[in-house]
Amino acid sequence: MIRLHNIERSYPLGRGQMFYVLRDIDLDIAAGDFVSVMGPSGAGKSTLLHILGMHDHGWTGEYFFDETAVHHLKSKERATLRNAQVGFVFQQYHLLDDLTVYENLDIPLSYRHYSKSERAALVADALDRFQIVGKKDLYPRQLSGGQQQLVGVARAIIASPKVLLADEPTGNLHSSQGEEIMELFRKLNEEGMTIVQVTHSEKNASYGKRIVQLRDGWIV
Amino acid sequence: MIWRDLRYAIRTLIRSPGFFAVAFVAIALGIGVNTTILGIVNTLLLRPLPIGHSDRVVQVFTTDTHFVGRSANSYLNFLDYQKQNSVLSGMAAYSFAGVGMTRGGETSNVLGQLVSGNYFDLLELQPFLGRGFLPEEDSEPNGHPVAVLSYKFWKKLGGDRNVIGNTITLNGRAFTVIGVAPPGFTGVDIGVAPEVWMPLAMHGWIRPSGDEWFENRRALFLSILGRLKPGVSISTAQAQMQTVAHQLEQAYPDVNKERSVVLVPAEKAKSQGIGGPGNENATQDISLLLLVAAGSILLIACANVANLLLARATTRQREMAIRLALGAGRGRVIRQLLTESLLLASIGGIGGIVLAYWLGDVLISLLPATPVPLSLDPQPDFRVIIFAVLLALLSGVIFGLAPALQTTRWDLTQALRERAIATGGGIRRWNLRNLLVIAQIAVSLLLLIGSALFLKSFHSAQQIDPGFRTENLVIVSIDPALAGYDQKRGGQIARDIVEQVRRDPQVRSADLGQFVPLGFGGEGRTIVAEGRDENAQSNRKIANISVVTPGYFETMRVPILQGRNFTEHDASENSAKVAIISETMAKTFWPGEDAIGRRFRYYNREGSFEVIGVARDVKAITLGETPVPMLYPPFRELPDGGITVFVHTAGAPGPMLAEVHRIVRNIDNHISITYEKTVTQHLAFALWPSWMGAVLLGSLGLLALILASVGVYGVMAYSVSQRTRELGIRMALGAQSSQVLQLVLRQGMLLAAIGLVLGLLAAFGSTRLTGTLLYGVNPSDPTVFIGVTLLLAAAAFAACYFPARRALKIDPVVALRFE
Ligand SMILES: Nc1ncnc2c1ncn2[C@@H]1O[C@H](COP(=O)(O)OP(=O)(O)OP(=O)(O)O)[C@@H](O)[C@H]1O
Ligand SMILES: [Mg+2]
Repeated sequence: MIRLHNIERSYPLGRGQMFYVLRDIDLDIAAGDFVSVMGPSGAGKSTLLHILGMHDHGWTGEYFFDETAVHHLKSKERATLRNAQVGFVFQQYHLLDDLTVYENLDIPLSYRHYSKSERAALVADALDRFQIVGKKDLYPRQLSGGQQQLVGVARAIIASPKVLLADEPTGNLHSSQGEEIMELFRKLNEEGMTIVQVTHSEKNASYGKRIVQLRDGWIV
Repeated sequence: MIWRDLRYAIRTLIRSPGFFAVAFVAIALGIGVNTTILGIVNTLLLRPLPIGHSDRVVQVFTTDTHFVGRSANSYLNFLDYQKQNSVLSGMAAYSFAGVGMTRGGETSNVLGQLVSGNYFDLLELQPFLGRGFLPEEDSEPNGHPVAVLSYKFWKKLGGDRNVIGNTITLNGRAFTVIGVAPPGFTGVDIGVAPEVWMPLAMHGWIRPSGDEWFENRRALFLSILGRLKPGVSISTAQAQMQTVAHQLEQAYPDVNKERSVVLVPAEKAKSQGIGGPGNENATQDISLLLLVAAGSILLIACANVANLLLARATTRQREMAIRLALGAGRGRVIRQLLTESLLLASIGGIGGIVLAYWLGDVLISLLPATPVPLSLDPQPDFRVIIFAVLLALLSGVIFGLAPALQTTRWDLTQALRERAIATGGGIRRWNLRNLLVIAQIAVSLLLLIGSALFLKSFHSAQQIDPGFRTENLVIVSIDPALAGYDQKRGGQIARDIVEQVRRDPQVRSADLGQFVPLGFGGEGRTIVAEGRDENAQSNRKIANISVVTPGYFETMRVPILQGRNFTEHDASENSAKVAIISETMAKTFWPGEDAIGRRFRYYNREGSFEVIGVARDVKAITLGETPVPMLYPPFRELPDGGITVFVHTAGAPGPMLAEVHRIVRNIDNHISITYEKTVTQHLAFALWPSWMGAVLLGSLGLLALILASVGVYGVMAYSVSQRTRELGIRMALGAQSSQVLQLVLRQGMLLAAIGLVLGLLAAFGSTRLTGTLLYGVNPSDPTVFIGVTLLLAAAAFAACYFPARRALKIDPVVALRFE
């Protein structure tokens, strides 16, 4: 499904020097896989996830998504591919504060080719499935952290991506809330969704099928 | 406490120089424009006349059912009013008169006033030097050649403190200077400042051909001032004066028919002459219009500063929250913030006042050269300065209060918890900032439409055909009577001058005419067509009179439409009285008939004229007028008020001015030249009111456009910076560049659209109020409305587009990273 070869990511440090965040990353992720990325703070986990999510363009190397060579795509084509295939759950939820739960769920659909009625149906489905119908008119700040992240996950998968990328989805949550999210991921994975999550917790990692360890930008 | 606040405020302003600079410019422009406009309005309307108890002084005007507006009075009626009224403690009279003043062999034209002997006493004026007139100095015809100088004129003559007792030469005669008027006093009419006053009884020397006026109860030339008796109201006084006028109408039915009087407070009448008869409120209307326009500019500027402060307030909320948490009272924090905005307002206000002085100079330099010295001093006086300072402080409170309240309203605990990046738009989508932008756009659209209407009006005024030659023409007015010539010799000298001018090879033709079209004043007479009852009101009409030499119509390129031109024979003394009349006069007296061969005469006079030709209409007083009847008798002798030489030149007319000037001087250097202009300069003067309106409102409109665009830009740029996170999330969730661009543009353009709609509604409702001030422009002119709306929409679009472009550069990874 995803194949990375010799991916490098660096930032200029000034005076011509470069700071390497990721070095020589080779990674294969098969369809239906559930990968947990672990490693200490600053290891480059988020950076890797943003590369996978095609938010970041400043890397070198080869990235094949299915058979598409992402490294040869123009940014518009990458955006199209991402919109069609990838969902993203952010560490800090990143719900839009001024939109209701319903409107937050609708955002990804509004940027894809769905008709109005399809969008309404999909949002209704998601609300149902995540049992947050009662909260649809509330604003994010009126929700608990767990509820917010639930909305974040619902928003990530609402356009039915093939791949779900989650950056510490339970980082700010109680363990019980975290468990709920992990159960959800497991279910999604069983339904065929490929999942890559970043996590610090062994317990969460154990929901996945395998673990990738990052340290100072290297896979170990 | 205050000092600490102030010190802290200074430090804060210094720390954000960019903000400070933008705010300073906005406030300085707003205050500067308002101070300038207020200076003008102050001069025109507000500044009280520098006379004693000016609120008790009234002007008396004659009304005549045949005339538009109000008129001056006749001398004989003045004498009767004086005797018969019981409501005024005194009545004084004055009349403007150009005089030729000879100094060192050169005669220059000076604006004088003939005044009754009690003039200075009635106005309770304390002369700066010497004394005013004594009643006996106004008793004997030409018995007391004495003069009072205006302060400015005295300065111009050298400011000699021992001037009292010296003689000056006016119209070739010696007058003794007995006084210098107080510094601020320039008569009771705004805009025209007499330089020398002389007793009315001296009119035989000052206005040699005007004797008849003083004996003719019909001749309306005298302005009358009265002082109300204690306890008498102006309406009581007017009622009594009208009774007197009614008695005079019955006593002299032939000359006072359908004439009465009105009383107007001098403070009101002082500026009503500027608009001309029937247009008494023009000055007030224009002043109001300018004040509204300037006020709008200030509001737009305040909105800009308020927006900047609101933007800063958001970033300072944490600072203020910490201060509040540390125990500062809310009032204390608000005071700190207000100190800052008041400081800002004061600095901006000072800048504005300096700007106003400069703009005042610019305005003075834009004043046209007029036949009479214009005295408009738009420079702010202390009254205006005080107002400007108050205005600056008030705007400081206006633009400072809202942000101060918003900053401190913020919930304490939440502010400390809240992420540094605040929310943008959203629930408070209709927050104050957005409302301010909407208001700015609405107000500037209103202003822009107003200025576009005036620009268009100016444009159409320029397109108006005045009906006479508009290039290669020189206009030189002279008044030999002022140099002591009688009508006969004066006529001869004028002919001699024209003869000499004609010899110049550059001259195509040169002719004499009494009336300068689109110039100042002129002579009008009541005309009655022969064979009709002169007592029937409808048979009497006023016509402007201009005696002309035969070549006049050719020189002025005024075509004779019917009949024939004058011959030299027509001008000779004993030939039959004939006249050429204008189209409008023909239509007025003989509608639908052939006017050639018809006869008419002056009301109340013997001897009739035969119409031999009909000439095309010319614009007589203003470009916007509907044509008035015009009557051209042949030139025989010098008319009262002087004569004008019109010269059609082969090439550029400029050098010809000097040539005609030289010829006049050569013939007699006592003859005073009262007006000399090329026709282009002359027309510029006629266009001046609409040009000035267009320039003033046009620059205010432009300023509004710029300020509003800056406002929209500022708000949008700020909004984009506030929305970085939101836009980053949207991009991460799949928004394309074009969609982000649209999102930002839509937000800005929605505000702009609401503002434009409101502005259009306001404009539709209010521009018709300016209708009387516009020439040839429909106050709801669709091209102006649509064009200006599109212009402002385009400016708003540009002001949104650049910040929106910046939104595209947001890198979602970076935007989402730092929380
Ligand atoms: N825009 C940037 N400029 C410079 N350095 C950056 C930038 N973005 C990330 N880095 C650096 O890259 C490194 C990896 O960052 P990254 O966010 O991927 O770490 P992480 O493994 O997700 O850590 P954490 O567990 O704390 O989230 C860090 O040392 C960070 O300082
Ligand atoms: Mg991270």
